[in-house]
Amino acid sequence: MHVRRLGALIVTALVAAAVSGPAATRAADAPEIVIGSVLPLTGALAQTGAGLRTAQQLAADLVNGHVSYPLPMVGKTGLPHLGHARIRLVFADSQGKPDQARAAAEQLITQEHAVALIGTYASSTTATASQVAERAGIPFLNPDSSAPGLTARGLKWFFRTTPHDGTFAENFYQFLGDLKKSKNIAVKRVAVVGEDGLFGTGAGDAEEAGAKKYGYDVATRVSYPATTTEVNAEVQRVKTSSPDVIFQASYVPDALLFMRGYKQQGVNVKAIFAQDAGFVDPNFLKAIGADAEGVFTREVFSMDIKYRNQAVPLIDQLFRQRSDGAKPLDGNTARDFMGVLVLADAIDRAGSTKPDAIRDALMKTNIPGKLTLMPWSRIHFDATGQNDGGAGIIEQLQDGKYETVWPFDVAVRPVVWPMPAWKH
Amino acid sequence: MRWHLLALGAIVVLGAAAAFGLRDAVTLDLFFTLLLYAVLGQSWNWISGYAGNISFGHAIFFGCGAYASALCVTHGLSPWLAIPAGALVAALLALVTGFPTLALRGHYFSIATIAVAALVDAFVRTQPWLGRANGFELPIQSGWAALQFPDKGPYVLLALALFAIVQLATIALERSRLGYYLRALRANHAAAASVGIDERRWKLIAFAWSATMAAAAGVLYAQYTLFVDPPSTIALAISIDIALIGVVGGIGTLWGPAAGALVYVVLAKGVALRIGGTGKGYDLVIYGAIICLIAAWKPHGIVGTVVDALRRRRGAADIPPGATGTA
Repeated sequence: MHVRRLGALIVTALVAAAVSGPAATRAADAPEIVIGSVLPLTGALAQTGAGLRTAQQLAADLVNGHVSYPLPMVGKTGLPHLGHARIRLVFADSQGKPDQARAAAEQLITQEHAVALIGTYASSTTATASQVAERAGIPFLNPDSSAPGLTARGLKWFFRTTPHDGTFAENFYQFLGDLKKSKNIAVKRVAVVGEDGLFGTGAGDAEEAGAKKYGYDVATRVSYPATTTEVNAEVQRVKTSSPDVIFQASYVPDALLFMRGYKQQGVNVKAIFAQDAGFVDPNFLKAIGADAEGVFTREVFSMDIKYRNQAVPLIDQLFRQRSDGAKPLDGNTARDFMGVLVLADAIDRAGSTKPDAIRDALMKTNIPGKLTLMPWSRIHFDATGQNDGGAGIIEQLQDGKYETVWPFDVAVRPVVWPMPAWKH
Repeated sequence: MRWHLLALGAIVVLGAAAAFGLRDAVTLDLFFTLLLYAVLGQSWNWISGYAGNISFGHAIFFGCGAYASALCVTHGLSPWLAIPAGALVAALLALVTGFPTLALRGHYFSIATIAVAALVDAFVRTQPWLGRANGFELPIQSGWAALQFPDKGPYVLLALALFAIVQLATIALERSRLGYYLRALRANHAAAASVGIDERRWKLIAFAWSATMAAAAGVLYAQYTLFVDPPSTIALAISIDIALIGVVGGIGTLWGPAAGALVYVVLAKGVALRIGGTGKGYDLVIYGAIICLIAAWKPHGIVGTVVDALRRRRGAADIPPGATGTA
């Protein structure tokens, strides 16, 4: 056989396999309500996107099913006010790129006739996909993007359930305030350290703004490329600025570099507040061992929330059964799971698939915190479309495991303050 | 020449008809993207195809336009101002970086472009006035003054106009002194220099024009996507996309970038929309396979292959020299 013909055959086979893929999932009988979901299903964020897709599909299936949990809209065999219509999620790939997210949103609205959109994880892709929804007059629910600017754009059709970087930063300052009251600690100077990508920049900006608001001094702000291989100069800058606490946004390799640098150069602070990411990765904990003991991190979710809502371990179990490699429910997947329920709740209360009716219903959303998987006080949108009941939790590494220490009503361990000093 | 103009005229008429007649947002979106990438591919083609200096940093010129647009709009200035401003900055950047690097031989120019692009990327990420890694979200407006529209039609018309200008400029290039000098330099720089062609001067002119075109495309992109940040405008991945379009279509040919953009948009964008929701990445596999096939069997690209076939059939006389792709 000619090599050329073989090549043509391979391409034909690939096209055939690709085109025949998604047709099988269509359900036939019950009336269906299409919700369009834009997620990073390929590209650098594909792994995260796959988990989010599983979580959203699980939520949709529970809404369409008949098994009840202490969660809104679950187990009513569809949407009761719409003749038990089932919801159907249609997924489109953003590739993690702003222009592709835009095109994907366009496709879901015009070709799939989605009545609402959900997504998209990365803040940059949420920015463009939500603009398409705004132009088209279709509600957009964002469960998982943390750039504060997204709800400052004055959009009418944009709703965000997750707290943003500003809230997470404020949580640290509220935590410090609570500690001042209960333990009479003295913290004045904060160092803000972060990688120079969207993640570290967003977190750092919010922490600096929070410092101003809550009356702290920013001792120094250090940003570095995440791909760096040595951070001696950066650690030195932190040391000479003599901060009381360090706020740090890093991935795994750079988190390890900084922690080793702090130890080598003897940077003793009362606390290190991490923005999860590298600091909560199992590989970080394995590599650093006891040296990270006492580090704080902000989190959006913890299994400890089971003490408030018993659905947490049950949903976790269902999620593990469906996810590749039996991954546990985490902050991202739990938020996306809740996002689908919030949309289902609004569409049901609207009793209509008209965009205006769904938007009105979303604005009247008021789901109590104990009916969510999250540490939030409630789900209720303010005038900008931001959930005003959102909050993070703060965990501390104690005996090799991150334990919830704040807010005090979901805490499982008391705070250890200050962090232990380095032993040489 | 007449055929080229007729073809361009036909594209403009059909495109304008589509812009006014079509209501399907997804098709118009693909059409806009196709034209935008055809412009970017042609921009790359000027320096990398005709002049033979392969650039892997072309996205920074695209970024100049996109950031000019973002800065103008967020500072309350007209986005129309971004077109000359972005083009000027891009042309200056091309002159400054091209002066020491354009005379470099072999792959060194390519490496230099990667280095410069990395520098620009790092610079933008540290500058608060350039939005650092956060980028810019452009506020939603409407109308010709704001260069923003609720419908896709006007965007397609603008992209079509830009495409037509760039194609006309390239037709002119092929018949101009600059075009002949560039191809002479590409074929044999020593021989060209020996008859008095100043390599640095002519290549700098081509590079500056190339950057200008990419910047204009950047303004249009920013006004369309309404979001500008480093990964979506100046990152290495965008530069590679641009270079791939030029290579796939046929390097150093008039219609190569358009053909490459067609393959790129239909496969990488269109197929992704149809089947990307499965998350299995078939679309990327298909696009990758096509690039491999072209690289293995048809290194002259799509247009280069067609021109070769025509030449074999009719004899070489009708085809102007330099219309086929060689680098």
